[in-house]
Amino acid sequence: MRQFEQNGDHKLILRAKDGDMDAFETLVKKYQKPIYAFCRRMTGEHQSADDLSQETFIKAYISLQKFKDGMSFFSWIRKIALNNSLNYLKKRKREESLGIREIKVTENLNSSPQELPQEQLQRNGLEVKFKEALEALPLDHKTVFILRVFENLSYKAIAAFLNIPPGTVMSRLSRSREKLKTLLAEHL
Amino acid sequence: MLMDHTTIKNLLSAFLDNELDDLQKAEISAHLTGCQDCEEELTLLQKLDEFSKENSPVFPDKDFWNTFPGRIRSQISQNYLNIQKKEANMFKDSLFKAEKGRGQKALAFPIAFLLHASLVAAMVVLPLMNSSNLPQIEVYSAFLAPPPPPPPPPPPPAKKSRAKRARTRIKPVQARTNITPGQLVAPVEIPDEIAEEELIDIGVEGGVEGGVEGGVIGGVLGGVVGGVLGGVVGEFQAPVRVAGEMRLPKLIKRVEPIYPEIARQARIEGVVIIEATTDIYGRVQDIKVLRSIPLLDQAAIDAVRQWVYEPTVINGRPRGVIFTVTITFTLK
Repeated sequence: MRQFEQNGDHKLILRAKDGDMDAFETLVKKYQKPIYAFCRRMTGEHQSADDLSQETFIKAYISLQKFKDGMSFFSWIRKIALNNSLNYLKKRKREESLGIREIKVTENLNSSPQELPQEQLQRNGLEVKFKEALEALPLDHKTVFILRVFENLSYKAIAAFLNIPPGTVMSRLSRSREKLKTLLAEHL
Repeated sequence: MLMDHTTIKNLLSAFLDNELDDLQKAEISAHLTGCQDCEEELTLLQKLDEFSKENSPVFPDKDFWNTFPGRIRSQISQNYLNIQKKEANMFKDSLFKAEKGRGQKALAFPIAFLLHASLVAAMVVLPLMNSSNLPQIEVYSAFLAPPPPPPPPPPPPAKKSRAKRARTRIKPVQARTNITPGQLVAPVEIPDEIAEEELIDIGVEGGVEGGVEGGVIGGVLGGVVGGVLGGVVGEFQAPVRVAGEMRLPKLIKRVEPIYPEIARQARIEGVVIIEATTDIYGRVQDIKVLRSIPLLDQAAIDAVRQWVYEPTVINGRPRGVIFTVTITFTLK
């Protein structure tokens, strides 16, 4: 994906900076899936992942002038997505502690509205277990785990991305795995 | 240095991610062949990663993705509309434009802070540097009684021993010759030593330490030469109103009032009665108009102010006097 990105992005970004909506739409088409996936893993919900990924692209478009040549467009929007997700999760945590959001959490746990009931049933097993285990991790541990396992970033890249020392990445990852291992022990 | 079992177990996660240096990798590989516990752990971790990837949520279907860019597009244009609307509203309310640049906003606080700090510093430092230009405020004088008048120069107390010594030496001379006052007489016998007279140190018998030359025996420290016995230092003597048997002080210097031109033209005549207060020297000090003719008052006041009376002495002390003066203005 990286090669593909570098080949075509530059021109598209330049055009989008000039206000070309079609060019920006091409960029959105290209990155919508990974951004959605990242948000989905961070939040564990389809609805919020949908909202957050839309918000990410809108924010990216608004602050496109700040995007400098030579940066990777994908890691730039992923950073926006990360900040959005973290903000959202912090807000959700606050609201949960106040008991505001309880209903919504149970209502749309792990499925997109377009899913067939049968698919939903099949899924309710392991996937929900995994999601719950991931939710049980502290936010910064979960972030590191997602970046390593799903985004496949190196420790160095994660450290740079989150602005923390590589040693911290290592220890957080080790602890996240330790915890997930115990939580999912029966399924492994 | 060899790592122990726990350390290695903690590093397995990084080992799995291939994030260790060659030395550590070699050591862990060696350890794994011998340690079943660690081997199992590593397999578990591998399984966990696989499990995570397998059970990560499934993406929405094609429809969702096909409509996604369009939704973003419409939201962006809506967003811009909203922003424009907001800005338009803002212009209605106020005439300044909101700063969009974040840099300027971020700078505003430090700049304001620096400005304030330098202003306060200037207000504190400048007066300190220019203290000579400031008016001197005598703080104490504002709260305390006025300082006492400066004490007279210290004069010598009578020094008995010296006086005695001088007397003993001069005595024989005085005894043998009859010196008539006012006549120069050569000494019969030359004294072998002439006692030096200390001119400064002329004491008066019965003098007081701290007295004044020319002072009076029985005088008070802090008194004035020429003062009156029984007087009190610093006592203020209020002027006396002329009443009863008291006679009006005699006028020594009289200045005729000048008839104001405007009053002359208006043909105003009349009597102005003034209450004058003299000080102890007989000079008119204070004036109050008792009967006023507006156009003539000032002329009367100006004239009377220059008048001098003979000082009035009451009980041996000069006193100020209050009395009335009548000035008649008539046109010829």
